[in-house]
Amino acid sequence: MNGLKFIRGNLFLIGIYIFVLATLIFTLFPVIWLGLLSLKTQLQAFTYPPLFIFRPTFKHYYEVIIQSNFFRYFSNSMIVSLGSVALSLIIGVPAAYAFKKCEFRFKNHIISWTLATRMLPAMVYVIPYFVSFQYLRLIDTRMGLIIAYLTFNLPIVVWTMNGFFAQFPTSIEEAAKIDGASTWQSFLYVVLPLSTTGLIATALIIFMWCWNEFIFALVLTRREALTATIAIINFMAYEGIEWGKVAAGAMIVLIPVIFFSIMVRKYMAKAMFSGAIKG
Amino acid sequence: MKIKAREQRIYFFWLLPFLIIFGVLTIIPALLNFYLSLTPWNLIRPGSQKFVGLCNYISMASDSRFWNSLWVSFYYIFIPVTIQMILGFLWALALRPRLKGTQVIRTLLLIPMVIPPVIVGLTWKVLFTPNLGGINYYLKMISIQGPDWLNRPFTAQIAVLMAAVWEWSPFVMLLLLAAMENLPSEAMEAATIDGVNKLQMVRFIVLPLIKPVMIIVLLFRIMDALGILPLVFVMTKGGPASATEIINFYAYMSGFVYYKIGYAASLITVLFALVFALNWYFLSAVAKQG
Repeated sequence: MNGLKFIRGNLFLIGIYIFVLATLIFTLFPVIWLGLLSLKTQLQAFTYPPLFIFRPTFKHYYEVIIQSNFFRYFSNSMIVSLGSVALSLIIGVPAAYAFKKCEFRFKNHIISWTLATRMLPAMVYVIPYFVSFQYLRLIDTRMGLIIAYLTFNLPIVVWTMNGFFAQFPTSIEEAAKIDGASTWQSFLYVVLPLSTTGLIATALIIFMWCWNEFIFALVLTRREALTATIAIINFMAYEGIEWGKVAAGAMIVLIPVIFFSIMVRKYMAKAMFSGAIKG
Repeated sequence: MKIKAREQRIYFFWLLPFLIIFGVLTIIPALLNFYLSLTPWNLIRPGSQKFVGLCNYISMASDSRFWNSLWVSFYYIFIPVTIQMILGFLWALALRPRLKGTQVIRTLLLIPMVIPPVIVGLTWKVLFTPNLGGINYYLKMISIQGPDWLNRPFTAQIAVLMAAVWEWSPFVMLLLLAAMENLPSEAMEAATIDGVNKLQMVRFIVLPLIKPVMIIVLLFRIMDALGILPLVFVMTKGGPASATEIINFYAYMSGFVYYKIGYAASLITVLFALVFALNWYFLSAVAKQG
């Protein structure tokens, strides 16, 4: 009697384990397979049955890093992402704080407008940006991309930081004020240092968004300001895709995002709720 | 009182740069886009920016490729999102216990969501390319001759669908897990004492309690469903025979491959109206639910 119950209980658990295992394989196998592909020669890539154990070659990584312009595209991605993160924090963080402190008409309308624009597909902005950037000579410049990314980063900064500031105890700010701190001083020396976690999480999340961005980078750059993700697509454009090279490029682009995402895992759910979706 | 007013003024100045810059970045493009949609502007023919009124919209009505892209868009809004919601919910249930192992697994499952969409597309292109030892090899193991996935309309649609499910199910899981962790434990304990089994627990306690969050997640997913543009770009380029051509991809093709900027702008105006209507519909549905 007891034994039967024991087996039934365990069957349920085993079922869950199998389900979790299947989930893990479904999620991880594609990425692992891409990683293996980056270490295979073109011949090995097409062998049947597919190879799991083989002598890896780092030829593709060498080709991508040394022989192609990939390093430049990688640093373009870095500069554009860091630049846009810095600008959006400088503009967005004081604004997020002011939204908490300031009372004025249409305040809630402006906040909803911020979120509503974030929800639109990126494609909505691409054509007008392309046309006006051509006029302003911002096409194929890193500055152009940095500005374009502000459209999506500013709402994220305002929303997530607004959430962090809302939890901030007013008593501390009042204490600072009594001690004679100006609004600017209390913000700079009291509020900001105590919100470091929120700031870092926000910065990393928008960094990843810029790093991953596709359609703006595709349309607004040509050669000089090309980002790493678009460079990978260009590897594929040539006749007879060099799978190993494409995969090696992809692995290089992957590493920073995976690293960052582990760091911000705890804050991701919160940021997602405030509209930080990639799109 | 005076100090308060002064303070308000200071904070307003902190707000000002954001309001100006964000206003310029969002309102001007929207107006410019609408204006462009009223011109037959073609990048190859300079000087074709003259105003022609609603001509683009009229020719859209008889453009079968536009209607096709609209259907494909609806397909990719509803089918992947449904699967993502179900899978994400099941994953969240399975990984709910706070054990050491589940924490690591949760982090690993987020990989598809955080990597660049271009690489998601690339990964699945590799898996669906015959001879590269991907899906067709495993199908052969169970003696099924796999098709040339990306070169047939129906199977190409499924391939993009798979990639979309892979990329965004973790998003649903992440948010539902966060919701499940905030559930009141008293309800669960009371139910356990009453001898409720696991299935009943999910059906009558967990599901009703996380329903509001589920609706928000669903809303987010629907609003962002057409964000699979990079997947389509990398995997199929909208083909074969426009089978995977969602409306924003068609707009991209019109504008930057055929150089018909005016027509592309009008397609985007329709896309904008579509997304806006969908958001409006779902938001008011949520508001009615309370």
